[in-house]
Amino acid sequence: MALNNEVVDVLVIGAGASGGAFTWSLAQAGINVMCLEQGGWIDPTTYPSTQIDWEIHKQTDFNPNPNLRGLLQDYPVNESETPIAPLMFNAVGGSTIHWSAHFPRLHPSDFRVGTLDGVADDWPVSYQQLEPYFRLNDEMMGVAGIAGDTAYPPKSERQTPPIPLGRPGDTIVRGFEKLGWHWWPSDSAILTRPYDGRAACNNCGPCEIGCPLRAKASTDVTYWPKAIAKGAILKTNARVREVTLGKNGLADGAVYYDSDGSLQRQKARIVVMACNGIGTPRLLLNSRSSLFPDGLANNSGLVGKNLMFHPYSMVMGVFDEQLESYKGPLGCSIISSEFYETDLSRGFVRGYAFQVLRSSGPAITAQGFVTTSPVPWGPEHHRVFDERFGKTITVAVIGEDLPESHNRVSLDPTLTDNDGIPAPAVAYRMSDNSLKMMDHGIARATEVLQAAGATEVLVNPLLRSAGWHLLGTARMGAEIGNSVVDGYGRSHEVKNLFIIDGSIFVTAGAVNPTSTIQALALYIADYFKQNARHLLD
Amino acid sequence: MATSRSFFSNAQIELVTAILNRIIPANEKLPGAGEIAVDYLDEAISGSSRLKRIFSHGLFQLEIDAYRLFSEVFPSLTGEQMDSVLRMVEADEAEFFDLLLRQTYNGYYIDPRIVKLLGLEARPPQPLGYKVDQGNITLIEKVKNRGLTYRKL
Repeated sequence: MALNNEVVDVLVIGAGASGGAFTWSLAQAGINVMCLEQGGWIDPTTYPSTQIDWEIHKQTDFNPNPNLRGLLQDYPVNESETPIAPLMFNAVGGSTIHWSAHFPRLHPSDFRVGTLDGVADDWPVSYQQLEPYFRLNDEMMGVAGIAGDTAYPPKSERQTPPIPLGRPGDTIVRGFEKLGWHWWPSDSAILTRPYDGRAACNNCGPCEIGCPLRAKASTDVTYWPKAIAKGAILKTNARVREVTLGKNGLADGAVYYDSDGSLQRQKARIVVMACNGIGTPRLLLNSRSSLFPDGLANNSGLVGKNLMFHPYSMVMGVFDEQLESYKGPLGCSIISSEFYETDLSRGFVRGYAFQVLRSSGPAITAQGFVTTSPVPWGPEHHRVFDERFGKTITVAVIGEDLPESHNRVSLDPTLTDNDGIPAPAVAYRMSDNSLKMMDHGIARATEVLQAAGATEVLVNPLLRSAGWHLLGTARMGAEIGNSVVDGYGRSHEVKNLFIIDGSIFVTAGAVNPTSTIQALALYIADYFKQNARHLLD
Repeated sequence: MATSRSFFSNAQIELVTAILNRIIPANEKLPGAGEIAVDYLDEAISGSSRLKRIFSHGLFQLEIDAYRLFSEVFPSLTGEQMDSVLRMVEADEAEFFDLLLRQTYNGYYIDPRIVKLLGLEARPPQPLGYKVDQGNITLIEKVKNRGLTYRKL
């Protein structure tokens, strides 16, 4: 094993949403910081939306599911015990390479669910405390939208005007207005005007296979160039096997495989995990020692438990008129918070959001898009294809699943990645509360589509390929018995180990989590900077 | 005369062409998938050991079903007979049939000839992108008039 004798002050593992924001913030302050990332840089001009067979790439080498994508830098996930398949991407930028960039924040009530609703726990941080970091992150990522959403406290002016609604947006708004329900043009981390040296979106459609224009904010085009310019070191194709422990019971660095498959060792004064809600518990559980026989910082036994995904129901309306819904960013148009807050008369606690989706190209339309109803084969094929192509609007119901300890990430006893590192195994089941919530959401989504004029509604009650949001597996909290890290992401058990990704969410909220993940990472980075002398001693 | 590809033998090409022409039949505007997607299917299968295994087994089963039901090879059956064989395979060999359908749809709908016949430009989404109308944003005033909705702490 090659030992790099240089000791870095801060070693961040993972160069995605949280790792990019955190590393930039520290590098800005002149702190000596290095990041290890198992993937590499991708040249945006090579993304498959520049190729005629882009819809095939979306199903193969740009598939969001690492098991189906199977690239060298990916690790497999045993998904046999979960109805929702975990999705992720491994590269500089992490899963922001393939995300839809829908950019809502958690709501103020999401941080107080224990007090307000008597379920799960309050967060040790509030919306108000995070607000300055949400705002800073919005400036760094660049957000299209309109301030004034009535479902939130006031936000700063958005960096660019909203993503165009197009005919699908105008159509679904008719439905929301007929019912008098809340809706708002989504905050989207996609530029509609040039900003910060990046180009504006040209509405090509498939954001989820990477944005060649750099209009979509993936951290490889937002935070990372700035972090590196300020002196941060980013090592790519560096796949961490474990975080190592010194004789004093503190973390002292990491062991990783370089691109040749050779084992390297990097020493550090502080280690920061930023590998997502599956990758982080996987590495901690694989970092065993006599002091931590069940994995680093896991004498509580909580690492990997309380996994939350956000169950998604997909409700697709078919309309008579040609809406050209394959044009424009797939995941970004309208959000609705009408059913977000708890109303116990609905038969469940907490709530859900609607995210209005556009559609896809001809090949994926024929396969049913996000429904389990492909266009039928045989004599009816052309007629049904004509009915659907460009004429569908999908209302995604995104539900808040609560933390439950049996929903968890563990190490698979046999499955490994191609360096022999044990792969994660995921076990998850839907709670009764979630099932009731999704049923309610499906009925309401159907109602709004019909109010907008849909002639047919197709329902996928639980989308399997929906594990975009990997949350809760190393939760924050005040006490050592019910949490892995404190309110600043610092391990209760290993004082120089921090976790800054979605693992530390106490509850999931019911919106896409990336803006909140990044705001938290920036908030922790500020704590870090204010206490750097003490922490690095 | 058919020439063999990476995965399909000569005999299989006739079989697969017949199958694909029932999955997406020709109509007055569009050709059947048998005229478009066989090469795509061959390439997709030959690149994956999993697909090779599933398609070898699935096609074999389909030929057996055709002979058992109608005492004829599949390409010699009438259209209706072919469809009843396909429905049987759809029910009994669900994984194979699902992949057959998806790969046929992929091969057909990414083909520039089909894309043009659908009335679309045969080009990737980038670099040209699309023009999308801004839409009626002024309607947010109605939402504002309904007041704040987030829960006060």
